[in-house]
Amino acid sequence: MSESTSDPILRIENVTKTYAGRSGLFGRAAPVQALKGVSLDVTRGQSFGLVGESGSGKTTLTRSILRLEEPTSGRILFEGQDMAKLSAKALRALRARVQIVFQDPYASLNPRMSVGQIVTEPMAIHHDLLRLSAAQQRERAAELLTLVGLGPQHLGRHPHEFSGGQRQRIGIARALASGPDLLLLDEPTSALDVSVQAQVLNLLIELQDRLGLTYFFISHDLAVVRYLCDRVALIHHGSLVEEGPTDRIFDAPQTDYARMLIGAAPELRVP
Amino acid sequence: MTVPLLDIRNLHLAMRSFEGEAHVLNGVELCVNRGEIWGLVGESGCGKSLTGLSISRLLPEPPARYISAEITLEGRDLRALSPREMQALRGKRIGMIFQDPTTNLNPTARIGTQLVDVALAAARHDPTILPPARSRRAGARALALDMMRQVGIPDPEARMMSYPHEFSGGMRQRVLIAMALIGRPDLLIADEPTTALDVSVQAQILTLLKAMVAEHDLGVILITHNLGVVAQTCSHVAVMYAGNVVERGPVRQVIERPAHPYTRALMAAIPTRDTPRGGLQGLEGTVPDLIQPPPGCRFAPRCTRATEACRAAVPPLTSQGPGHEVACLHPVTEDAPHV
Amino acid sequence: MTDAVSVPPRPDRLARALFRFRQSRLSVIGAVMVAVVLLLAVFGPMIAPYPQDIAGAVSTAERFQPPSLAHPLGTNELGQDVLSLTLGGTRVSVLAGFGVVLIGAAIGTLVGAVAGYVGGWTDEALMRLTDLTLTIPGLILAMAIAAALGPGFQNMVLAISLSWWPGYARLVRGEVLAAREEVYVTAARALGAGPGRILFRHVLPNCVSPIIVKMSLDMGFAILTVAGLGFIGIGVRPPTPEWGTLLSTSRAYMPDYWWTAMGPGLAMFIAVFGFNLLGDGLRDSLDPKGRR
Repeated sequence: MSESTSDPILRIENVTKTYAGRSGLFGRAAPVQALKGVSLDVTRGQSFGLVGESGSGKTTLTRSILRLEEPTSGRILFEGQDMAKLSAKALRALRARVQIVFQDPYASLNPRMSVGQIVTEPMAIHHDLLRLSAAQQRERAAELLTLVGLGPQHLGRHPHEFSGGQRQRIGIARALASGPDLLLLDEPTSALDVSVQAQVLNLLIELQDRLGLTYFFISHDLAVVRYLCDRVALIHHGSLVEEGPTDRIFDAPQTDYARMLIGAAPELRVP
Repeated sequence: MTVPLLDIRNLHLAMRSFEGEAHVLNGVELCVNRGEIWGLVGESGCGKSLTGLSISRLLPEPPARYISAEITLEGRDLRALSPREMQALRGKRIGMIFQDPTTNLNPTARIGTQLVDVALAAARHDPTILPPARSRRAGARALALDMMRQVGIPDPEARMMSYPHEFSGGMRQRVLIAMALIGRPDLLIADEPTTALDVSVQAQILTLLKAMVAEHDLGVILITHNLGVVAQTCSHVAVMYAGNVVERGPVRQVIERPAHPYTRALMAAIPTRDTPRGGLQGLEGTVPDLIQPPPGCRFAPRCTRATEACRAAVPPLTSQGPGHEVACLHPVTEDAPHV
Repeated sequence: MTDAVSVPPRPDRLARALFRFRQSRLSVIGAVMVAVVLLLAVFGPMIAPYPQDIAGAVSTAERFQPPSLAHPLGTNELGQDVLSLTLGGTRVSVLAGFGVVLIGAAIGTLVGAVAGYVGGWTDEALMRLTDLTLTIPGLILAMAIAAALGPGFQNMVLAISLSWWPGYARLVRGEVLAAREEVYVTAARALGAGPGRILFRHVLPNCVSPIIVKMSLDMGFAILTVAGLGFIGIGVRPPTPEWGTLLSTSRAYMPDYWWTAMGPGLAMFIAVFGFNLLGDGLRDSLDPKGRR
């Protein structure tokens, strides 16, 4: 774990996002400020945990990093490059390097596609970068499935034939297919049973050690964040409340909000 | 010994589906007294929700089919009641709370109207719950206000005029708790009542639930997948696996000295403050096929301690200490490693 | 890591849908009725007892024979066997119904998919056009087009199709709007997929079920509309037998020679009822959320 911020793979600088109020029958509602000047650095090879409750702005921040949404102000830099200033072509190339694993393994896989099609799709989209033939794509998909604990025999199956944990493995294989450096993990285990969650968390640790990935882990589950992450940031009402090394935040929280959140998490202890 | 509030014995349930008939509950046994909060825990598909729905007879038959079931509420056989009597019982003696507070409130009616309607319906079965007032409606309104106050909804008079979408998730769940308790039920079945909520709100709701039990002397079945919630809230716990209660007892005994290998495995999969990176233990293998379940202990195929005897017959619940029972031939006797 | 190694094979969606479909007896009856209608559409003229009557043969000696063993549904004013004419008419009616529904669905899907996916100004323009088309009564539009282009099978199908697509446009737009918000679509966008790939690989394949259901439900109504045009005399021209035309001519001889209307009437009833039952069954099994 490195404390230096000299080489952040991802830097978020004073990002704000304001949604215009919905205009209804009786005039316009007040605009909503989802992010109020968020700044943070994610170091290469690290697991960075972003913790927030519903409505805290963590989803908006994730979508902004993926450029599915445009921040109102502020900059998001990937390896020092401002993502907003990239050409369409450069942005597409960048998408291969920043990937995401979604929360709901049931909704995030297209039910009409086979596992093979799902895992090879990123390679087809980024054909100009990866230059893999159809046969090579299939071979790499088989490798990826093996890497996440499935196998080549599953290439022809469809998502509905798999359990939640297995689907999440397919989602991870898809995210790895374009060879990313940074993986956004959007509550990847909150829809899973604990025994399966443990397997997926261990898989993520194993993959990070093998592939040198950087994780940006979004969660509301403090225990999971504590298990996986080196650094943690708490976000509340669109602002960062507290940020620092995981142990420091959990053992000596500085703010009331952090203390409240840590106190409210149900621990496996009889009081 | 007095008659328990709720007594479930020998509950065997089959569900018809496309693949065939699955034997989803395999002899569930559960006994709840007043003042007890029973945590019913297990992973998805273990039958915990089906057990709750079986008590209030909310499962359509078919596809459900009861192979055998003895469910008594203070000695009254629930299976023998007519649908009409059961309906009355659901309104009055058994309250229910479900996971999603959004879908269980009518979005087009004011919160107050919905609560008053529930109060009036409950008063049809037991008029004494209404406080004395000019009219039944005024009494129902007073009762609704009182319940809103009790579940901690601030400024209840103003909030009665609000619609569900004007409430936050936590406040909606409070409304549902108020609705479930308005008929002064003896038994409350709460199916994952806090799963959709933020942890800070979850803590408030669970505290509220505990206070309500203390005040009204209810029996509660809290269905959840979260052992942490059970440890913090419940007085007793029953752990379910593949349609069986595999371990049950006072919460301290079960959490601190879990005897069933499955309970152990479940706890080893939960990260705590001391779990080192990579130190979690997932559970190997998959849940058994319930259409053709293994003949013996349903956990045996995934269990490291299983022997031939385990695969021969379902082990019965045997005593493991005061009130602590486990359905295992080779129970673990050491303290749990993490406590 | 081993939880994943064995995935028990599960029957696929089609088998599941078939199972759900078979749960309802009415759906199966509908499917059988439709199968009979389709078989008659293909083989009707071959099994007709008096194929020469379909071709237009007239035998005035046998005018207005009531139902008998020789003519199970009697004969008409030209001495033609009503059963043979009805069987012969099946092909025209079913083909026309198919044509209408297919063309309507194709145009509607295109319009709805573009409107729903592109959104904004394009959506507004296309949907207002759709609304405009909906305000013109279908039969009147079809009559106008048939009057302009002249009567005949192709013109009739084209005319009805042009008033038929708005329902599909609205349906598909709604489905596309919903599918666009699916997480797997967001996933594809995050991967850098372009609009074409998203629309054709992720969005539209997931809209197919409701379209098929609507097509099946519409078949009956399309057959009725075709017959309606025939009835008012701007559909298929005699001597080609067609249910609507047959009914129209028999109208003059009611109620004395009631059997002349029985054949085409019953055939229409069976076809429309069958397609509706089938559509309901398909909706319940393919698109359960569409049931209200």
